[in-house]
Amino acid sequence: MQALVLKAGATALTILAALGSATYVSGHVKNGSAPLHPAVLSAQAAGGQLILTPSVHTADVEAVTSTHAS
Amino acid sequence: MPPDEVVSRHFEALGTTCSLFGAGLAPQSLERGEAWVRSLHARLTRFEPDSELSRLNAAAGAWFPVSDELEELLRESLRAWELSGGLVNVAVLPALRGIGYERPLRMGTPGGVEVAAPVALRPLPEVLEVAPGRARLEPGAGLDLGGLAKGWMADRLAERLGENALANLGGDLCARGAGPAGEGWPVDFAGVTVMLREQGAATSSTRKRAWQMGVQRVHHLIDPRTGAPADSDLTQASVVASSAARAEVFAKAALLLGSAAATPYLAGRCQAWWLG
Repeated sequence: MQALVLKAGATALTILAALGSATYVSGHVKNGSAPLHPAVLSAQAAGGQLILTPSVHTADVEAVTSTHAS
Repeated sequence: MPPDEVVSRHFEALGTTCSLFGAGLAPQSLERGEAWVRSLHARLTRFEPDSELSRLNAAAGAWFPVSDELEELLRESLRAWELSGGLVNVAVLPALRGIGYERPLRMGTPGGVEVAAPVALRPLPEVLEVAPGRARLEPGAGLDLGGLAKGWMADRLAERLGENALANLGGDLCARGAGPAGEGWPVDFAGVTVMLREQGAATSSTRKRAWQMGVQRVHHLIDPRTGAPADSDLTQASVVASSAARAEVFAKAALLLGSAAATPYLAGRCQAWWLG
């Protein structure tokens, strides 16, 4: 009798965990329109498309040099 | 803390303008840096028959002893080939000769020759073998280290200059340290000032080193897939990456790929890019 109660309890606990997990996952589906990670700054610059990721910082100071075609 | 004083030095080498900067450095460090660039240039140029690179090219088919620097650069060339999926291939010399690019353009643009029928380049690992202290090219193959050498040299030079320095070799640049004010080195990137530290940047372009051959406009950037000057909807690509050598590879590959494929290629590899 005690073994039967334990089995029933374990089964109920398993079903509850499965239902709970399914409910959570259903409520947190992947959002296809979520922003890109990492976010990027995109802008038109100097006649082309400029992309800056967060690892590149801009500043309002005079540049000492430039990357350019040679 | 007041910003460190910035010393700078500008000179012509590698067929372009070079600029060195250091914060808190003695000017003599930059002088030694210039001497190092000139020394490497003399060994790595393909335009001087006695340079180490020219002698390696002339010895195609046989093993040739190479210096530590050339060996390292050849290994970097093989990495570049892999990183770019074969788009950056330094075994481009026969194709450059095919469009008449036999001498520095400052000595005059090529003329009076017809464009040879282009032939797709063989994969670099098939024509270049590198072993400790020696290298071997397949018969008929030839190397032009070009922009890759500039990026590689900028990385090495910034390291040699000191902990807070920037080396810009014709647009291929490496910024090391916190810069003059602790926020990085201010670099103009497509009209925007970006603050670079432990980063490199490079630009690849078909707007320069281009000339007219009859009715055909040709330029120096060869597409290894065709062996002909690249036919891309992009004419210039600038990139910020973890090093100048990497930036050079990614910029060149992006230009060859064209606008549609360049963005997904650069995303995840680079930290900033400009395509025009």
